[in-house]
Amino acid sequence: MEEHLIEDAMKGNRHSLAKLLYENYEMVFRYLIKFTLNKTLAEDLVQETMVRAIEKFQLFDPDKAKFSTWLISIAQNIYLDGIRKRKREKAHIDEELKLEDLYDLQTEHDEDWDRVLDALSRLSEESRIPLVMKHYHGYSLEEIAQIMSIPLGTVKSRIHNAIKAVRKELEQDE
Amino acid sequence: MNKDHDNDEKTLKKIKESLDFLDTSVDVKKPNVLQLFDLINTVEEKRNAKKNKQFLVFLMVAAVSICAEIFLFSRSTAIFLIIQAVALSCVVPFIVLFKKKRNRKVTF
Repeated sequence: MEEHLIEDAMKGNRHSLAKLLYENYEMVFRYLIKFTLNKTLAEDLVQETMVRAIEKFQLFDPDKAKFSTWLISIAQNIYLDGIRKRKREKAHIDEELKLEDLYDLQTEHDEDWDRVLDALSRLSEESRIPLVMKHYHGYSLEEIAQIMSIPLGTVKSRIHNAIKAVRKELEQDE
Repeated sequence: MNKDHDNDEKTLKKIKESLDFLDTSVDVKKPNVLQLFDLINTVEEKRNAKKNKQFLVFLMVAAVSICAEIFLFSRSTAIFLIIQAVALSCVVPFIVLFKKKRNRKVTF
């Protein structure tokens, strides 16, 4: 099914491309929300990902990667570029995470999860991203270093410090 | 050392569970296919407009340079400079267009 859509979209069928993007929209959003922990930011990023995917669709090669993987790499680059840009401009305003903005607190769940998400949100993005990449998505340390353009040692220490920080926060609450 | 390792494992397990929970509990504001189709049309229109603008700038720079050189220099020098002007015309549109900040914000 997806192969047909990709084939049609590559021939210039805009409806097929729209359908292809529609089918992957939620997946990209769910990927991003775990890094950003911010619904508005994830929504903005996924929209920008769609625009970039439309612009660069001619460069997509189905023999090299799956369409979803290609979209994820675009989303990842946009997110990381945004962080670098904010860092350069020094205009980053730390937004406080409000769990009720992310999900309904009435939903039945383990209370620890709120504390973990809260602790994760307090980490800097530079620490949270490699942690989530490694221990949630299963990227290798080398892959993370390459994606984030940082040395391998820095990846290791950031992950180590991030786990330590989350653990400390959880222990404090207990 | 072992206790530390165990605690790290516990923390990682909790992180994974929390993110799994987040994954299932967050609502996605998803556009429909028609809205995405409109977005594709808008992006394509912008891309075509950009190409046209680039070509127009190329023509203008080339025309102005060629006219100026024909009036100011001898024929052989003019031919040499015309080649330079054409090369310059290929570069200038990119500089002009890439300097502009693009507004990419879209809302569904």
